Amino acid sequence: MHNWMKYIAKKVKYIFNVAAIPVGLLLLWQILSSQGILLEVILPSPLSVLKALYEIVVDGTLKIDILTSLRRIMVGYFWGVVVAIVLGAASGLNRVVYRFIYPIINVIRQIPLYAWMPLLILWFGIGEFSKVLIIARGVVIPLYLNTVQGIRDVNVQYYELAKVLELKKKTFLQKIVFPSAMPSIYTGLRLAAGNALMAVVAAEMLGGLTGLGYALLQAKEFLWSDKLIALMLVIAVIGIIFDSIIKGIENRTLRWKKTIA
Amino acid sequence: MIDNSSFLKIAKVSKTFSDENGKTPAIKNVTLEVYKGEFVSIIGPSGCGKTTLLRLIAGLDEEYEGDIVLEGKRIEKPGLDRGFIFQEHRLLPWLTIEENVSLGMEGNKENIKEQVKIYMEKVGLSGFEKKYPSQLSGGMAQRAAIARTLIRHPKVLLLDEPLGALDALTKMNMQGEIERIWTADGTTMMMVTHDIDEAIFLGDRVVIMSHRPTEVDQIIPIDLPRPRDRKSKAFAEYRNMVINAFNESIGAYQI
Repeated sequence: MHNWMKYIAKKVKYIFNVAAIPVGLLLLWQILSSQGILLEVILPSPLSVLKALYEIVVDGTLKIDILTSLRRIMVGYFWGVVVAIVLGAASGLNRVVYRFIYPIINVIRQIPLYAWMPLLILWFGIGEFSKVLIIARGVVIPLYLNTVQGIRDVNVQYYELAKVLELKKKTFLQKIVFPSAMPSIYTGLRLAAGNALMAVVAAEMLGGLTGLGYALLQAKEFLWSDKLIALMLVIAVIGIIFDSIIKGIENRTLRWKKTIA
Repeated sequence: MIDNSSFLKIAKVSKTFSDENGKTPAIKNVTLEVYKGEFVSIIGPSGCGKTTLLRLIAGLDEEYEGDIVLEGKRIEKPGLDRGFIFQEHRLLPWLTIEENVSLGMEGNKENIKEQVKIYMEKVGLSGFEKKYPSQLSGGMAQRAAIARTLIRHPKVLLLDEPLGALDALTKMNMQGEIERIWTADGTTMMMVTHDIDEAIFLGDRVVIMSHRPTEVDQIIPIDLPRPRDRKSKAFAEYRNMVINAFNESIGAYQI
């Protein structure tokens, strides 16, 4: 009879468990700030951060910065995915291709993102192309590696199955190899999304006058620490949204996996 | 049901595996004829080459001495004229049961759908078309695997310990199911097992293989009306006969 009350009590308890520590820290932070123990310019109070966020929302600069960065991410992510899937699939299916491609990818991978930028700026300037290239580099690496892995890890037993059923190469790839590589490819896509966000901010900080990365740098120059933290939170939210979009698509397409649980 | 013309001939077949540790003989000089429509049970100590023999017939293991001839054609590679049931069902977890059963079939979609329906019914899985393999029990999954093979009309169905992974009750139930499918479909079947009761329950003949390198030790025809009664005296006599043959064959070895 009181099931709904129990349900609500359970939910409240859950929310309390999850939120207790973050909310407590925020309160502590606010109190320390308002008591003047924390310097506003070093660590502004949560309320100041909120106010700064409100300001950049209202004056429209946040919207422009987000859209600029998002457009770069989309372009870089798209090309990165295309290149990684094509090269990854070819390398996973063919040892000769793998021997050519993998060493190149491996060298590119060992050179950190930041180390690429001076050369790219020297070659292509600080325009859109360099930024997109940097983002694509961040996307290609994890996605390529996971695609190769996923394709290689196809259960040997399925090769025998394909033999006794005389499956055509096309059917074998379409019905066995790619579906079985999909979970690994999705892992690559999620890692790639995180890398893309990191790369766009880095690229915008090192060259250019627009986007979230540039806005961060500008806030630092002017000692707008409240705006700085507000922007960081915005980046976190974008990251979480990306991840849940990909996770959502994954859950939809990999419905068969869910039924195991 | 049994046509007396020999249709699968295994003549003086030997197979030796070689690797860096040297040569391991698996099968030595096996000769066996299988008749059309027959159910042959093959039983032998674990680790003997009985599975290898089945894999040679399927074409999964290649290069052997002697001849394996199916309807006049020497077997050298896998083909749809032979169906193979693995110990694990090997259904693809990302395909529904009907997609699994029709895997690799080509042609008219309606026609395929009709066929799937017929074979799902044959193995007693009607209504499970849209389910995923993870939603099926072990016995049901193995039946779906049988449907996936029978739908391609193999001349002979090779079963490699198909019930080995099932619990005792499901296993007994499935033995009845396999007999029912065999009776309804009329496909020649060869089953490797290490379960003596299973071999007698299903086989028209029980072929007893020796320890590795394996040879045909003895062939016992089972002359009992179907479906067979595991509790009957006659069944028990056959069981003793097989156990005795086994003991003679393996001597000091344990099963």
